[in-house]
Parts: sequence; C-alpha cells; structure tokens
Amino acid sequence: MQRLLLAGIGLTLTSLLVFLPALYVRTWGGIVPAPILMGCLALPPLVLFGALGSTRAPGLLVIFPCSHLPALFVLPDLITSHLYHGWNGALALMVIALTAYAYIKAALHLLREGQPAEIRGARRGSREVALAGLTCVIGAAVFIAFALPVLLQPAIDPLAASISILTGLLTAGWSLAKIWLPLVALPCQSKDGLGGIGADILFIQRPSQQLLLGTTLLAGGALTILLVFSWMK
Amino acid sequence: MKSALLILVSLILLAGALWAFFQSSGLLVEREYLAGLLHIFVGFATLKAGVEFCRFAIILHLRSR
Repeated sequence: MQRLLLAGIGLTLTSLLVFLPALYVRTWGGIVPAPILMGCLALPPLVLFGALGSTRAPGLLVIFPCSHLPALFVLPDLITSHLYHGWNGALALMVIALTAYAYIKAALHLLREGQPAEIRGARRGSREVALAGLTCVIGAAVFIAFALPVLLQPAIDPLAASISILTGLLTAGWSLAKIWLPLVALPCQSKDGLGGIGADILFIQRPSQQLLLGTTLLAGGALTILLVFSWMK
Repeated sequence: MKSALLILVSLILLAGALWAFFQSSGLLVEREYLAGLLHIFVGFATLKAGVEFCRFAIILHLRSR
C-alpha cells in the first residue's frame, strides 16, 4: 500500500515537473520535441519503479529526483520564467513544492518501515532533531557552494552552468546519503538522553587511529596544495 | 574540552570542504572539468575527515559521562 502511494505521488511529481510543461510547450509554444526528449521523459517513471523494487534511500531520494534533470537539460523551455510567470506560475511552483514534500515524507515513511523495530520505535529528542537539522544545513551549504559561482558570473555557458548545478546536486545528495545520514541515524533516545543502542552502534563504528590519521593527512595535504595554487594564481 | 576541540577541528575541515566545492564549481563553469573533478575529490576527503572527527568527538563525549 505504501509503495502504491509513493508510486502515485512520484508519478504526479513527474507529471507536474516534466510531462505537463512538455505538453504545454508543444501545444502553445509550437516547439516540436526532439526524439531524445521522449527517452528523457520516460526515464523518471522507469527509475521510480526500479527504486521502488529495491527500496533503498539513494534510489528513492537521490536518483529518482535527479532523473528529471536530463529532460530539463534537453529542453530548457520546460523551466523557463516564461512558463512560470505571474500568479499562475507561482501557484504551479507551490503545487510542485508541496508534491515534492509529500513524496519525501512518503519515501522516508517507506524507508523507516524497513528498519529494525528498536530503531523504528526510538523516540527523537531535541539533540537528535538538532543533528538532523544540521545535516540539512550541511547539504544546503554544499549545494550553495556549487550554485554561487554560477549565479555570480554574468555571462555563462548554459551547458557549463547545468553541469555545475547537476554536480552540486549529486554532491550534496551523496554527502547527505553516504556521510551525514548515518551520523544522524545513529543516536537514539534512551532514558539518559543520547545513548542506548545509538551509543553502542556509534562505539562499534568508531574510527580507527589509522583512518583518522589517514583522512586528516590526506585532507590537510590536499587543502594546503589547493591553497598554495590559489595564491599563486 | 577535548571533544569541543575536535568539534572545532571538524568545523574547520567542513569549511575547507565547502571552499573546495566552491572552487570546483568555478572551475566547472570555466570548462576546466578535470581540475573541477579533482577539487571535488579533495572536498569529499575533507568532508569525510570532518565527519570522522565529529564522530570521534561524540564518542569522547559519551565516554566522559
């Protein structure tokens, strides 16, 4: 039932984001879509059904949303300000944002069902909520770091800008899915605050001395080299 | 005290990662794809180091209680 609901919301999101704008552009814009666009339009539903089969977080929360991007790159008219102008455009954007929110909520609900009962039943305290909020801030900061150069440069090649924004989206998604989400998912509420099974898992997965030293040396060395080259340039 | 210091280090590393991502985007916009990709790898490594420090700080905090 949950999968059916998620499939319905996902398909609605795809329709609002690419199908209906493509229909609008073709009917009122007089633009005949290229054959490659048809393939790009078929990509999101295929990815959605594949992700629903595996029920894994990266597929549902990263790959499916990103699967809309090829269609938007092939036909940029799907997201022009001409299409979303005035009150009607603002209303359409609001509906898309609400549908995206509903999709994320439904996907998280489905993912939570697959977790062990102890973790699923764990209460979230204020510290855990703060950690989750911090995670979202980090993801947003990563994306903004990518978007800023695109916004700041006056004349920019659309393809280069698209590649930069897409890389930013993928990097932010990867950072959230692979690095920060496990950190957030670990602490669970127990009687004495942050502890319980969260603390146990955190202790088992503690970083080894070699890993800590290795990543620090690698990151520090690479950053130093980049700083030196930036100053020399 | 030690965990606070580790949190500070992780925040510095996080800022470094964001700076590397900012640089990489600038390079991608200038069509310097290889350099941009290398900067992204550096950003990932720095982000990973920051997260490990943060995790270490939480463990120290839990152990001290």
